[in-house]
Amino acid sequence: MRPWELLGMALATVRANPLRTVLTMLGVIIGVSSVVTLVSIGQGTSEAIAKQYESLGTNLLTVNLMGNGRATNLNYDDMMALENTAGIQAVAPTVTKNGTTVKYDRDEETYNVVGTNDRYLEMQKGEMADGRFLAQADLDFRNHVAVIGSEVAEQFFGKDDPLGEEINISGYIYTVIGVLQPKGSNTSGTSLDSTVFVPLNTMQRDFKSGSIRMAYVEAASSDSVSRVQAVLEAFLYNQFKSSNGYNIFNSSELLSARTTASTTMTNQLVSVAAISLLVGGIGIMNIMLVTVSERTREIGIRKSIGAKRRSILLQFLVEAAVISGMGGFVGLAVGVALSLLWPLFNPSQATSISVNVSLYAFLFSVLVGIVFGLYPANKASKLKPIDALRFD
Amino acid sequence: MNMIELNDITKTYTRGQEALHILRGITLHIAEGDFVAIVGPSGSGKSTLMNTIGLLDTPTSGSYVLDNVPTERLGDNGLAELRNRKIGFIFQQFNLLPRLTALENVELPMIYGGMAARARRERAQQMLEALGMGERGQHKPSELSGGQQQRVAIARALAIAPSLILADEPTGALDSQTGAEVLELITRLNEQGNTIVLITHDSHIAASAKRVVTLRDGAVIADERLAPQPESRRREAVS
Repeated sequence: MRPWELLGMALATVRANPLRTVLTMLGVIIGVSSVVTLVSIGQGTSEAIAKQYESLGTNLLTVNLMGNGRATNLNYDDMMALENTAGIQAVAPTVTKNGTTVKYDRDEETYNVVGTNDRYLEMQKGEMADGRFLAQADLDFRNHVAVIGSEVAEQFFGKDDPLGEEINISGYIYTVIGVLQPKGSNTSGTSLDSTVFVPLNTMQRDFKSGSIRMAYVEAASSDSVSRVQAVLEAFLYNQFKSSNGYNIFNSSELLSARTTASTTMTNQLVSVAAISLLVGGIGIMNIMLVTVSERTREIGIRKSIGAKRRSILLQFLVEAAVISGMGGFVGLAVGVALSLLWPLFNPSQATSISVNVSLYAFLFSVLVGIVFGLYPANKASKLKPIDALRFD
Repeated sequence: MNMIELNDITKTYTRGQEALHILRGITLHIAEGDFVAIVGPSGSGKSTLMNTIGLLDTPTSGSYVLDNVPTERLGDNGLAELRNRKIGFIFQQFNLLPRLTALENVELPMIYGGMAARARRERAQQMLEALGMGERGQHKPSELSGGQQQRVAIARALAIAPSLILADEPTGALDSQTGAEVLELITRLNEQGNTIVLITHDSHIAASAKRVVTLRDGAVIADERLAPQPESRRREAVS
């Protein structure tokens, strides 16, 4: 028998029982579409993470200072002295006060206030929409000036020009000198858009919150990142007299760690989805077994007019493969549709459809049909024509 | 020349301790071109004999040569191939596949015989036309009357030009009028040179045959010739 004749026979049977076929396919549809969708989401997340770090530059090192018993604080000038070390391009220490009340006119909002220096903007790849960023002179003179994120500007000033206006940060008056372009969240999850930036030592004096908790250090080139890291380790060890109380993150390490985390998560989700594909396969086997006993007489008739074992075996096998393959195809379409629609409902969550994985999921669904169709098909082929004909 | 040579065929079923002897040493030779009716009351073993002749069931002992092919040593596939090439079945219940059209049903043995799609479609249409069913090719069996279904089944049986036509109560599910028509059709097939074995319990139907073999309790008790054995005239071109 020729392959397309088998295919024709299988399609005829599948068409004869549309409802049952669809129900049988359901498991495979759900399995394939969830694999495709989850992989798209996972891949989208990984790509988004990579992009975030790319925009930040992989030359950036982040130093967190938790403090330990001996020393809890680092001096701003000591830190800035690191800039004279070979391989270090810039240092931007920060002091952060989260959830600070900021007032303008009668509006009162809660924002993060960050005290830093002029290096910060470039290291975070931020851009000015209007005015200027903090300058060295603002730190030298402890100026009461502020640069505000785009959300802050929108909230307080709407379409009005914020430059030169005065805002009240926890009782101290600062003059707005610049507005940032919208940028979205950065790697540590904080958004420049909803932050107010002031000169570091103005903030230290006003809020008596002297501790520098975090500093960004930019290496001159990606080759010098590890050397800079070693220099920082040595410097901090010397300051803290211990390896406790601080840690240093390397952007590229962080990137790979987060990508790995996202990949692991995706793999776990996909495994669960793959299990549903397997359950779908068992569903196909179930229905095929029912079909075989229902069609015992048909098998008998076919055998009596000369169908060989192999013909019957292939007929049922192709039928199972057609059902699961069709399910796989529908699942693929549903998965692609879901992947495309997903960002509409979750704007922050990008998806990226993987052609390879989609193809594998589809082929796997066909394979599932063949594997789980094997037992029923074999059972059908082994029926004796005389027993099959007698069956009612 | 004999189309069928059954020699000392027995069929025994064992049910627990008990052995059930369905066929007790049947020897029967049927000539090519003959028309043989096998009659007997129910339980006489005629169905089992028919299944044996039709290669649907294998005997417990004895030898069976069909059209010069010894069948004892054939496996499942060999038997399937022989059924496909040499035997055309006509069943009491027609046994058409309900989901296929009349035309597709007639095509089925040719599909298993490996005939090309176009050739077999043409031949199936020809067979239907020869049986007066040319207009009904696209009907499903459920849309046809009993007599029409049996004609489709006969077309299917003839499609592969079998050496032997095996009819099991072919009129059993039809009213007497259509039954008579089908019987006439079978008689005509015999006149055209086909070897026919007909199983029936009805002596009127058996009377159309040239030879009547009567079974009882798994043995031949009478073998009567009603019309002369035909000369062997067919199959010169076939190896």
